[in-house]
Amino acid sequence: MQEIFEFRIDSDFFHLLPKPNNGRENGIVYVVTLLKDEPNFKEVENLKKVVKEKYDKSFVFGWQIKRKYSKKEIDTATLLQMKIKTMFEPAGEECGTLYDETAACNICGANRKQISPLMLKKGSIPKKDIARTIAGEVVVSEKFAEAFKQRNLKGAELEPVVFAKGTSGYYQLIASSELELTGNTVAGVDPFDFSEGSEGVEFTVSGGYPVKFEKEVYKCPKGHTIGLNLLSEAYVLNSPLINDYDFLASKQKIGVKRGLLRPEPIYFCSQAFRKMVEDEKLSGFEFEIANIE
Amino acid sequence: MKRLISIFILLFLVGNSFAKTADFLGVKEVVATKGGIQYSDDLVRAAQQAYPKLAGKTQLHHITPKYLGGAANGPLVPLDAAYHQQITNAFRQAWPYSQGAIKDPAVLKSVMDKVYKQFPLPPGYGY
Repeated sequence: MQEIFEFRIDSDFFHLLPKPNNGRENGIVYVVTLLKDEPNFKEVENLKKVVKEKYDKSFVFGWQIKRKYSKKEIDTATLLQMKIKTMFEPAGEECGTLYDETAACNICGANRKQISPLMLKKGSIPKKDIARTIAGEVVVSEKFAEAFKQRNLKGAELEPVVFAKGTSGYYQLIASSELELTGNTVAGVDPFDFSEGSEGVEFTVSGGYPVKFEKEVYKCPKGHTIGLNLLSEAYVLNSPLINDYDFLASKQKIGVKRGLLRPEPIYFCSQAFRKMVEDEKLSGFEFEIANIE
Repeated sequence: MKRLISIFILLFLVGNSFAKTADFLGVKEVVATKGGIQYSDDLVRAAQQAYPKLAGKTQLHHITPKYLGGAANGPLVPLDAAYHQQITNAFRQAWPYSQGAIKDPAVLKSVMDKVYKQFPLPPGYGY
């Protein structure tokens, strides 16, 4: 497996990164990809601190980790992490979906209870076989739903998604069973920052508009949410559920309660599920290896 | 070609954010301050040249984008749709929409500072 880190570096500070590098200009940032053992990887970590201390700015804005596997590695994995590539809005909450927030953790905001069908806005769902709202509601196409049923796969509840005027032809995908993540699953703010929370900030943007972010908890003391972002492959406790089901969710969540965002589970699937995606050419999916302990 | 020229004009204006005034190809109204360029009709006109199909339409912009954690009922600013598109593009360059990773508020502050310094918001709204 090869891990590739992509960093989006503020164009004001990109010149600080030693050359040669593969920085590619993209508007207000430069996109740089690095392997962990490259000298510039450590340099990004160092410059992140320097820029913060000296200018109170962020050297890195966005980032992501891409994992590339050999065919053999991915084909022989017992359990896979299923990732959803496409996101959209408005979220269910904005379209009339009801949630019982009293059921949610009062510290991290995880595990609110959906108490109505998922309502979404007509025309907002991307033309993919799977997509998720910014609030983590997962939607699949009719094609996916039919393929899942035809293959007799297990572990998914498929509930119709509703538009303001009638049915949508899409389904909400919900995992019926959960797996426990283990301590080897690493979560954090970014590849260099494992903070368990943040103090709120208040500032003013151009035009004189005040912006306020409240204090946030990324690692819930009750164990519901383990961090802001998943940084490693997922590690789960062995369970008979892994053999019994083709689609599962993690019990512990990743993310934060902020605006419409909520902590979300990691999703897992079987090789039969992956085969369905490939055979049926279903779009919007990515897979990583999940480790069983 | 028109689009290229307008992008060039916009980049020139942004690049001159510390200038007292900008005067390039007849574009004059952008007055720079210590904090960066200010919102002006010229910025909007440049955006409209880049996105002519959106020009003249008004859209409401969430000052803190919802996908970065802004509240659905958070403050909104009416913007010309072409200018709104440029702000949206800048946010997504800094932070791709579907990337998934969520940043802490300190980084969000830097991103918002950067975007709104290049594409300032008109004052006096925020409802």
